Amino acid sequence: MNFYSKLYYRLRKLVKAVQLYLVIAGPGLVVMIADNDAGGITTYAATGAKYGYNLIWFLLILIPVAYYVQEMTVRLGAVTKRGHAEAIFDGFGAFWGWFSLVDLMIVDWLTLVTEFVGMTAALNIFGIPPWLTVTGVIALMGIIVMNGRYWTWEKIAMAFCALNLIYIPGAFMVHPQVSDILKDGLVPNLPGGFNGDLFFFLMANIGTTIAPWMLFFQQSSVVDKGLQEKDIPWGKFDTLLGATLTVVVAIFIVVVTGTVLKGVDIDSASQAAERLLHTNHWVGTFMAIGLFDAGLLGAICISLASSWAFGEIFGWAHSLNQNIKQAPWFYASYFLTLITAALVVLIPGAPLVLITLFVQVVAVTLLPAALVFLILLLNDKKHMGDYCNTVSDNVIGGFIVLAIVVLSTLYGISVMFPDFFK
Amino acid sequence: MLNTVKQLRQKVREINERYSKPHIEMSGAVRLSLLALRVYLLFLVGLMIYKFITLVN
Repeated sequence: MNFYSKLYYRLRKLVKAVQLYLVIAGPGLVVMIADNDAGGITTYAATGAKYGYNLIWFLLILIPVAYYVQEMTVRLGAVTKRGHAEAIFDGFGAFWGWFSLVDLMIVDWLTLVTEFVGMTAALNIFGIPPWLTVTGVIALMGIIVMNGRYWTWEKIAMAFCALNLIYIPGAFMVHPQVSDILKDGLVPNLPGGFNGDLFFFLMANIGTTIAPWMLFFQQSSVVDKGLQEKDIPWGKFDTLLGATLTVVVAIFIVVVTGTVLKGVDIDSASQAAERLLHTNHWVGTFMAIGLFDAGLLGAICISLASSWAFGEIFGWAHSLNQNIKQAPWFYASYFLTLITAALVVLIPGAPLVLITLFVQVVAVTLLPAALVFLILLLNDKKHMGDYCNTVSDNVIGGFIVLAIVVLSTLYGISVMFPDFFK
Repeated sequence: MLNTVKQLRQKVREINERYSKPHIEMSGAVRLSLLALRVYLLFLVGLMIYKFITLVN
């Protein structure tokens, strides 16, 4: 009897814990899965096609990297109740504040254009014209945000996150050899030796895992959701789960292209989807649906990251819990960013490839700054109190930030000067 | 339109006043980090200008 009562007690405790997590779950999961945006899917598809399963071990390393960076935004948001933009303005003054805000606006807008490029290319495979995709996406995103409740927005976003898992059945359908994945993928190796091409791919994978908008988005999201200090452990768990899921999805994409398209040069995820359609109709279809979903998730989060940041600084009402009448400027900036980015895709002959490259270069100017500010703010005992970074946090976080800064800078340089590392 | 621009300028002035001074404790490490960040950004801007000039030429 004692055994059963203990078991019942533990089961009840577990159910309560899961219920509590489901209430708090959201910001970490959404931001991490949205990190697998259209550009991310292209990077993973190209990595698999170029190197097969050989870089899976490297993707696994990115789980702690993404987690340690993003969990700091959870603590900062929950303790200070301020978004990242406001925290930078307050902590470092107007100069660094404006630098971050304007840079964020440019990076977000350019990234948003790349999301629309991905979405239109994905649906074009099914014969849907770009104008219809763009109109549909804007309408859908309008409906999602204008319900006047953060909770509803978050749950809809999480449903799109679930759709991101479509790559997993896709990978099973191409029947990869598990032994090959384990042998080639889990043992750290540098396929073909360390050279410029490999270095570019490693940097691209890091660049797509940590993006500047993610820091701003998650911190603002934590504030808008109203997470408290007591929720931080669950917020951290949410972030860890999200970081794990995003890398799992990335690995399954690598498995798909590494199995079917190995040795093929892939320029975009839509190209990979089209090629896959010829070999396996359903896998190609899943790849295209996944690409559209990734672009949509990215667009949902990126446009909000900018609107939240502007609202924080300009003092506008800036919560998804407010409707369009209560927060007109918040929604105006949201739609302005969205519609202008969408229109660029519809301009005939628009320099979309140049924009895709430029976004990587501009992101390099913002990411190091945002990461350095993050570490410094987390060491501000006056505001952070007991949630201040510990020595081990600083050692791990500092090392990760330094590595990201160096590698993302080299990535930016390699984008500007393609022959530099050859 | 002109009125909106005026309001926006006023708002920017208010923001600059509100955040005129950094509120984080300016320890040696913070000062050094911000200095390193400035140097880093100047280096990047220099690279971008160089790239732009070589593209134009």
